[in-house]
Amino acid sequence: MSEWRTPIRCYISPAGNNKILDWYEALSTPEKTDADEFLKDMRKTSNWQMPNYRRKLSNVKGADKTKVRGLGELRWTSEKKEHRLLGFFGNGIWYAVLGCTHKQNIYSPRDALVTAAKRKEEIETGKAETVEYDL
Amino acid sequence: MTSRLVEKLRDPQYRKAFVASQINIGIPFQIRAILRNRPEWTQETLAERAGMLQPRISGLMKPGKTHPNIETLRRLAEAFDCGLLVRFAPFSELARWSEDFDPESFTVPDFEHDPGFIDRKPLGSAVELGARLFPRSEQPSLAAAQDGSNLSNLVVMDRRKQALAEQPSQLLMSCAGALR
Repeated sequence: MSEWRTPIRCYISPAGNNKILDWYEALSTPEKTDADEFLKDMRKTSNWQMPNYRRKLSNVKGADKTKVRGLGELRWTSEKKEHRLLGFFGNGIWYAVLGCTHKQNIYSPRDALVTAAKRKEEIETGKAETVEYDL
Repeated sequence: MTSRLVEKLRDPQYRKAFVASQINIGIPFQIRAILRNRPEWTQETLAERAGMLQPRISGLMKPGKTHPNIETLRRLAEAFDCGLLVRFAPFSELARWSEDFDPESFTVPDFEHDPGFIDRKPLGSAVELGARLFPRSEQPSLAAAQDGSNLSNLVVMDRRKQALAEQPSQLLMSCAGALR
């Protein structure tokens, strides 16, 4: 498909690092192929729904409801690990801000939600740039 | 095929994992797409038809959650009343299929709705066969046949020679008998 139904853009830190590329590069090869296949099919999908996408994280145990408002997560399993890509929607584009794993209601890294909320705010206030997901 | 995927597939480790991802990640998208086109079906319906429990179907619909083997896929195909292609293929073909796959338009009809078979269903009677071979607008030729032409003349006369030739021979005999 030449045009994605749901384009994905990646968070670039104020220092200029593509944090989604960093996350991707740290994955094992089987995790990379799974992520590639999953994200390709999600970009071809217009209406993201459970179980592939959780729209609200406000009911996640321990989450600060006001800070995580608007954040959602892409969900898939690879190499027996629950993978998550946190992000948010804006004007039909999904902005990926942080990749992590999830086990028994605990994110790894543990501060994933707080960091994701901070990055979301940076994008929304123009403090951080984004780039098209093209990994 | 995108140049990035071509580049990635040059890595033997990536190639090896790519095949597994087509099954573990790709199959759940296919199952979901098929069910979307069969709105009357629930996970319970599929579970019952496949001889599985509903939680297993739920797991098979979650990308990467389960690693379905060929027997599981065969049972799902049987439940969907469709075929299952399992064959070795060049990476270029697999990659192209993956890139062309559209989760929103992908659908697999069951046998009853398979367009490759709809025109080849056996007919119940010679009258039905005649009606199908000769739609209302073309019925004068059928009338001409009833006026004494034999079946071979009828076949030559009609543009639908090929379609007629594909019908089961016993039905042709039955039709010929009715026309005499």
